[in-house]
Amino acid sequence: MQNGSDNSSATVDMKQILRIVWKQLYLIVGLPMLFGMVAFLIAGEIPPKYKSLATVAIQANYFQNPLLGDLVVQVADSTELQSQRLALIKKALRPEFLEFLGDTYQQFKFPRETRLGATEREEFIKRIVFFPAGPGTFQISVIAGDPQVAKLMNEDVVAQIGNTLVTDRYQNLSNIQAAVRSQLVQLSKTLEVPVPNLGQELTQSQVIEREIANLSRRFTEAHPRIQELRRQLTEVGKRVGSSASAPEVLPVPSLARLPFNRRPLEEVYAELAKKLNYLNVVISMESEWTNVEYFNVIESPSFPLHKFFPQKRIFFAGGVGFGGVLSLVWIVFLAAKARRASVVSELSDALGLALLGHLPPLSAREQTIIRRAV
Amino acid sequence: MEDEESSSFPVVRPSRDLSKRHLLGAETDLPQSVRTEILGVLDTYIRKNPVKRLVDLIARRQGEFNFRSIAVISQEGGEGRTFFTAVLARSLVEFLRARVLVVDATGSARVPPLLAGLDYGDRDRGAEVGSLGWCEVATIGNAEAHDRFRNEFHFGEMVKQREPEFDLIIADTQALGGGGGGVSGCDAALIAQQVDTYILVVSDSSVDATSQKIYSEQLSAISTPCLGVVHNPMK
Repeated sequence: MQNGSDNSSATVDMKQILRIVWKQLYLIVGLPMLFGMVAFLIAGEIPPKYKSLATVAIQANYFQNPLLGDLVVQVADSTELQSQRLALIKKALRPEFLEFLGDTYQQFKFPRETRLGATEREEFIKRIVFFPAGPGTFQISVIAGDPQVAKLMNEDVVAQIGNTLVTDRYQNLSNIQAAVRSQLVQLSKTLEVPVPNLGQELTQSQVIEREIANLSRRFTEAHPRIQELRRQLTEVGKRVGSSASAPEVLPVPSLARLPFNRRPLEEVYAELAKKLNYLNVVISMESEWTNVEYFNVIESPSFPLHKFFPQKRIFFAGGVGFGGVLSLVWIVFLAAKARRASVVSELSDALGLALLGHLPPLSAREQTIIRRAV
Repeated sequence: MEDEESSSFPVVRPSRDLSKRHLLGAETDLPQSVRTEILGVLDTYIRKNPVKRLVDLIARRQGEFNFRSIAVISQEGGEGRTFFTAVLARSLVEFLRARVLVVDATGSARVPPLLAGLDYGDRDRGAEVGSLGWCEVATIGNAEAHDRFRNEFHFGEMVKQREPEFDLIIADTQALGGGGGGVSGCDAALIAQQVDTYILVVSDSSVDATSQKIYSEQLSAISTPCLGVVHNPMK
């Protein structure tokens, strides 16, 4: 008997692997090609999806009100600004709007209450994606089964974001405007001067109607915000009707009857009047989102010319890759098998015994019969 | 394990002739359908080229070294000893018209159907016995344990008694490591010691980095020259 323990962990040499590769070349080439072709054909059968892209910018001046900086707190930190921009977009794309969008473009097959309907809506929401493309810039992508629908849906999404921005800012400015106006009225009484021309004061119902008009340019009456505004309008109408008989009388401040230095009050009065005028101008300018400076559509929603998914080339490459991996596994298996035979051969050499031969494998059926008979 | 797997087959027991110390003929009451099925598989298998080359090599070695008895051994249970024994016996009979005695030397009280099915029996042997190849199956197994162990030590004598009748006597043994037989089985090394030569069956499951040391230890107990190694890739 010889001592050959150093040979017991024999490995398959490169020559042997190359021999296996050469012998199995048809499989190594054929299998990836076969899987590639199958994947290519599958890609042709999958319903296509199209992606429409748009880029919008929300400028920092959206969050700033020149001449009013000493009245309202303004955000200047860039990170905070970006967070606020994202929050505004999220607010615009709230679930009610997305539900409306899906219904409008017939993207849902099942009712919302069903499990399939819920899943369908979750998937739909995932198809509308926005992400920062730069400071203050966002890319919005919408995926749909039809290129035209993808484009229209993206236009709706952009319009919704614009309207939300305008409405929010308008409400903010209206609140400031009302406060300044009220203060001016008080001061004019104190100073015993006539109330200046304060511009047109919009009633609450006019504000609501204005927003409805803005939204109606793009959306139908089914839009959740329009429906909400309609309800608010009805409530305001009822309230105005009931309070018409007893108008609210503002108390006259006693300050007017006291001796005082008029100079500082006059300065405040002049300053407020100036700010109010500015506010009136701004509110008038920003009545529509298409006119505003702070919101720009840098790239209009595109009409997708090519399929976003499935891309036949990628499917083909994936199929080839999968087939390649399978071929590799097969080669490894054959190499392991060859290694076993090699190990047996080396074992017999080490033991000083002749290797008489290798028994061929049995089929599964034959193995079953033999196992039962042993 | 083997008993469970072959439970659908009838148990083939040796004849209970305890008066003489010789190899006992296995009862061949195997149903014909089972025997046909087993032989069908074997007859297909032995026609494969690697098997034919292997049998031819063993036959040529027999002509060269003139051995008359051979033991088939392996390190572990389930490596294909019994299967190889059956393949070798069937090939020698079918291709070379050899007279072969297959001995179940495992010490088991039951001859596996794979070996029992090889027995030609009186019906098949007929008047042509002697002119054509045929196979007989025997066992050293016995219902009484003390007889089995006694036979184990006198296996060589028993083989010598039958040698004139056969061209080759093939003994199927227990695993060298004792797998499958335990205390009740006959020692393969002891059996191999009492025949002219032996063949070592090696399967993938028994070959690894440490196997050489184990084989060296196990085979060092056998002084009989080894004919060679047969690799069985299946477990």
